[in-house]
Amino acid sequence: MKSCVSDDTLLLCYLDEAPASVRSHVATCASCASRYQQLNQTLAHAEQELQTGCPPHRPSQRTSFSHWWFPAAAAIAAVVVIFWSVAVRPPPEPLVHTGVHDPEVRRFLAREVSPALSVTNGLSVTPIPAPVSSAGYVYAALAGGWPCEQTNSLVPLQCEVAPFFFFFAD
Amino acid sequence: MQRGEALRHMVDERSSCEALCRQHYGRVLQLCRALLVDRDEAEEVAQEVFLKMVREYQRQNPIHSWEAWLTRVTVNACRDRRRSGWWKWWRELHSEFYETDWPSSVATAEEHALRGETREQIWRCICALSARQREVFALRRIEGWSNEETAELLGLSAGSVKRHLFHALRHLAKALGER
Repeated sequence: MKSCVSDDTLLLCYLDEAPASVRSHVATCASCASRYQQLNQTLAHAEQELQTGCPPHRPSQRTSFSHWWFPAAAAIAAVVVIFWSVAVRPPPEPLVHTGVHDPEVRRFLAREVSPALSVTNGLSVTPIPAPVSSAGYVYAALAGGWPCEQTNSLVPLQCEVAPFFFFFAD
Repeated sequence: MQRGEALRHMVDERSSCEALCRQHYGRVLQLCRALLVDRDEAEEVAQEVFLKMVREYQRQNPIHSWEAWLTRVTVNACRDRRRSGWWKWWRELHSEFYETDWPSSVATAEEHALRGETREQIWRCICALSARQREVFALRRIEGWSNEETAELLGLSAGSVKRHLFHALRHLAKALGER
């Protein structure tokens, strides 16, 4: 083997899985030997660190998270909601009248429900009171009867002078 | 007489359990550190693992090899921890390490900073490996299990173990060689 081996092949040498020809080349070639030594040193150093070392502390994410990330996200969310509600939100759709499409239900409503709602049998009909003209109030006030609201308050009327005369009548 | 024997048996059992803990605690803790890349989480998980070990010991189930049992339980506990805090894990991937608390035996501040930077880069490279690659790398190169033992512990084939180890080492060599 004359040409130098690749990095992956050197890695196989490191794992003791390279063929004998490769190992002999790495042992004899100065360039490959140097590369292999550097690879070996790097990986051995890393493995040594992982066998005996301790992962460094991390900064406290909770403080940084709570100090700026959460309020910023809340503010952005509020702006987005306001913008959406003012500018982007489509107008509300008109109410859709949903009719009854089932013919059986429609028939039931027409035959049973509508007559029951508008039935008037057995009700005592009372006459609608006729509107009272303003003159009626005037006559009533002059006769000393009820009502007295439309009279002049400066002029005492009989109904106000002795409103409970019937209590004292013999 | 029987009461004395039972008491002696209990004391022996307790002392052997403690000896087992002392024997394996450092190894399990280091494995947790390599798998979680977080010293606080690693200590918590290591304590959980030894709590499970004590319970298993009290059940008096026949364990062929406590070393293999502890390794398997540790790997599973670390997987559970990663799954439970996935968002935290994701968040921590993007954070930087503190290097100020590393003990240093070198004299100059420049050497201290250089060594700290190297260590930080090593742990960052481990952090960048996939979970499976990290497990294989830790068991093969840190714990010293063979390919077949690692495959059995992780439920993989020996070929998969070799492939994951090769990719992990290639990533490490590339990342650390570019320094």
